[in-house]
Amino acid sequence: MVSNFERIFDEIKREANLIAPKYGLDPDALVELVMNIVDSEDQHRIKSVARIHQKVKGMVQDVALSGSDGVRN
Amino acid sequence: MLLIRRIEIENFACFDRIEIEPSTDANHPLTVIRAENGSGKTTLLRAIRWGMYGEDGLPGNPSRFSLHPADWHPDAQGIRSKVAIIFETDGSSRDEPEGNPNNTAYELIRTVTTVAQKPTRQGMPDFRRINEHAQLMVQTSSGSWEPHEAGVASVVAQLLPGDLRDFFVMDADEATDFVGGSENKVVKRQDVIRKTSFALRALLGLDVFEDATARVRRIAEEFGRAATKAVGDNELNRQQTELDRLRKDLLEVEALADKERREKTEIEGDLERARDKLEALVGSIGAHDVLKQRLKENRERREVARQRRLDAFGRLSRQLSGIDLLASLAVEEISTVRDSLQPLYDDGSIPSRHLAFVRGLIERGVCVCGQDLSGQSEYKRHVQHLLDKSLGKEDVANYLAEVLDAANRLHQFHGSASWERRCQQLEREIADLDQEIEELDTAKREMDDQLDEVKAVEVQVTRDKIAMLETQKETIDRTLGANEDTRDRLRRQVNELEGRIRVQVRRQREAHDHQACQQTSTILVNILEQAYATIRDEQVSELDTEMNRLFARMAANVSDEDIEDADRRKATLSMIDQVGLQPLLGNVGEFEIFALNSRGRSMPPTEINGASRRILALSFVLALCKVSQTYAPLVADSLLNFMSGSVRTNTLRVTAETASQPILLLTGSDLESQSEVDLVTRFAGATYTLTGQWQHTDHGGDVVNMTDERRVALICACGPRQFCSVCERVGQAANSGWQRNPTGEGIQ
Repeated sequence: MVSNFERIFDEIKREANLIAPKYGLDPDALVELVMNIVDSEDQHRIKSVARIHQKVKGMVQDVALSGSDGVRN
Repeated sequence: MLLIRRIEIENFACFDRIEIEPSTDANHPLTVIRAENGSGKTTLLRAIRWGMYGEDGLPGNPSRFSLHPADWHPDAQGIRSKVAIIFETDGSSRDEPEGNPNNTAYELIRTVTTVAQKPTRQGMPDFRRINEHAQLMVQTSSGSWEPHEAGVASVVAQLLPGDLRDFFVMDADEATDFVGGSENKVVKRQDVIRKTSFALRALLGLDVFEDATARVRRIAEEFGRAATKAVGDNELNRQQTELDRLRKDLLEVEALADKERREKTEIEGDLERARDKLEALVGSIGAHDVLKQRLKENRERREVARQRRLDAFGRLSRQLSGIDLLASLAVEEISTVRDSLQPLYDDGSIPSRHLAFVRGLIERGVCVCGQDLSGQSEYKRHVQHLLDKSLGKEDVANYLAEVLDAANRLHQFHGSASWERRCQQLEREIADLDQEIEELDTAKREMDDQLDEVKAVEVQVTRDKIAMLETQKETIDRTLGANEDTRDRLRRQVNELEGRIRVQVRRQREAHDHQACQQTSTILVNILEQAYATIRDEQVSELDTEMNRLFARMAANVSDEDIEDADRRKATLSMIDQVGLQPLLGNVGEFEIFALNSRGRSMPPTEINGASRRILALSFVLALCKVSQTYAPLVADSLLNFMSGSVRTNTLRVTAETASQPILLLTGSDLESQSEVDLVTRFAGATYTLTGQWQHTDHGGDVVNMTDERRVALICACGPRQFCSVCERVGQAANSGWQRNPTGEGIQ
C-alpha cells in the first residue's frame, strides 16, 4: 500500500540529518539507504522478495564499506 | 492515488450484466448507487470484492457462496461469471511521491465457471467453481491493452491489500468491527485491536518500519557476531613478530649467500685468469720449441748454403784456374786469333755447315736449287767436284771454328761478370744465413734464459694458485649450498607465515568491516526507531484529532471552532464527547479506538448505538486515509442505515468532502431529505439506481415495470428523487418531489 511516504521520508531525513554528523556520515546517503531498506521491506510484504535478508544486508554492507563515495565521509 | 474508472459485472448472482462508471471528477468525487433493500447493493459490493480478491473476497465459507445467477440451475455445461474492474493510478511511490503526470490504467478481469456437482452430504452445495482466472491488463500509451508483467496478486496487493478490503470496500456492519461490532455481533476486543492496528500500521507504514527495523537489528547482530568471531590483535601481533624475525634471518642469509656468491665469482675469475696464465705459460714453451725448430732448420740451411758456396768456389776455381792461366799468358794472341777468325766466321767461310746437307741431296740426285741431277751427270759431277773441293776445307773450318770458339770463351771468361755476380750472390746468401742464425741463436739464448726462469717459478706458482683457488671454490660452494638451503627454508617459512598472516589480516579486516557494518546498522536502527516513534506518536495524535473532528462533525455537525470549545462541544455531543485512537500500554504498535462520554468515562461498544458505531468507524477510516495521505476508493454499503436525519446528512457530507473517491451504496431512505439530495447534487459525479425485478408488483413489491422477466437486478442512471421506466416504483410519478429521468432509460 503506497501511502504516507512523504511523512516517512521527511522523518527519516530529519533523523538522518540529526544522527549523521555524530558519526561523520553523509546524511543523504544514509537517507537513501534507509528508504531503500524500507521500500524493499514494503515490496517484500506485498510479494515475497527472494533473499530479502541478504539483499538488505548487502545494501548496508555496500554503503558502510563504500568509503568516501558512500555513507562515510 | 487509485481511482476506479469502470466496473463490469456479468452473470454474478442477481446481475445479468451491469456496468458502472464511478466518478473520477475531483470536484464531484461522490458516486451514489441507490438501491432499496434487497436490490443488489451487497451483491454489488461482493462482486467488487470478488473481482479484486477472488475467493478471499467472499464472506463466510467461499465454497458455499454462490456467484452464479440466481435463476440458473447448476448443470454440467456450467456458466461463466465475470467481473472486470478498470482502475487507474498515478504510479506514486516512495521513490516518486509525485507519481506520473499521466495515470496508468489497468483492467483486472476475473472469471470463473460454475458447474453442477452432486452434493456428497447434507448441506453441501450442488455446484462448484472451476477455472477461476484472473488477468491484469495495462493500457499502453497508444491506448491498446496488453497483459501486465507483474500479475494480478502483486499489483492488487500493492494498491489495495487484501487485509484492508473491509477498510476500503466496506459493508457498514463489517465496518463496525473496528469499534467492537454491534449488538448482534460482538467482536472480541483483541480482534478489534488487531484489525484497527493492522489498518493503522499498514497505512502509516508502521508495519514496514517495524519489519525494516527488526531486519536491520538482526543484521546488526549478525555483523556483531561476525566481528566477534574474527581473530584478535594479539594473535596477529605474535605472527607478525615471528614473520619479522624470519624476514630478518632471511635477509641475513640472503646477504651472506650474496657475499659468498660474489666471492665465488671472484675466485672463479681468479681461477680463470690463473688458468689462462698457465695456459699462456705452457703456450710459451710451445713457442720456444718452435723457435728451436726454426733455429735448427736455419742452421741446416746455413750449412747447405755454406756448402754450396764452397762448392761454387771450388768448381769455379777449378774451371777457371786453367783458363785464367792460359788467358793471362796468351791474352794478346788470343785476341789476335779471335780478331782474325771472327770475320771469316761472320761471312760464312767457317764453318761449312751445309755441306753434309748438300751431299745428301746430290746422293738423292737433287740439286740444292731443286734441279734433278740424275739425267745431267755433267752438272752432277760439277756439283760433286765442288763438294769434294769443299770437303778438304771443312776440317780446317771446323778447327778454326773451334779456335774461334775457344778464343771467344777465353775472351769472355777474361771479364767474368756473371761469375762475379754469382759469387757475390752466394756470399750474400751465406751472410744472410749467418745473420739469421746469429739472430736465432740470440733469440734462443734469450728464450732459454726466460724458460729456465719461468718453468722453474711461475708455472709452479700459478699451478699452486689454481689449486688453492679450486680449494677455495669448493669450500665456498659447500657454504653457499648450505646457505641457499637455509635461505630456501626461510623463504618457505616466510611464505607460509605471510599466508597465515594474510588470512588473519583478511579476517581482521573483515572483522573491522563487520564492525563498520554493525555500526551503520545500529545507526539505521536508531533512525528507523526514532522515525517510527515520531510517526507513530505524531500521526496517531493527528489521527486522534482528525477522528475526533470528523466524528463530531458527523455526529452533531460540530464545527471545527466548536470542537476547540469544550463547553459548546459537550452541549452538542450529548452522549459521546470525545473519540480517538490510543496506543495500548505495553504493546507497541497496537492501538484501540476509544469513545469517552462527557464525564470522561470510556464507552464500551455495547453502550454505543449503531449509528454512532458506524460514524465512529467511518471517522477512523476517513481520518486514517487523510493523515496517511491514502487516496483510494471507499466503497461502502448501507453506511447511512439507521442514522437519524442530521447525522445521516452530516455523515454523507463529511464522507463526500473527505474521501478520495467515495462510492456509496445507499437506500432511498438514506436520501430522503432535501439536504441529502442537495449534497448528492453538489458532490456526485455519477449516480445509479439498482432495481430488483423480483420487487415488481407482481411479486409483492413496488416496482412498476417488469423490464426483464428474469430475477435480475437492473441498473439505471437515476439519482435521488429520479425515476425511469426501469426503476420506477409505485407513487414516484405522482410525487411532486420526484422527476422522471429520461437519461436513466435503457442502461440495462
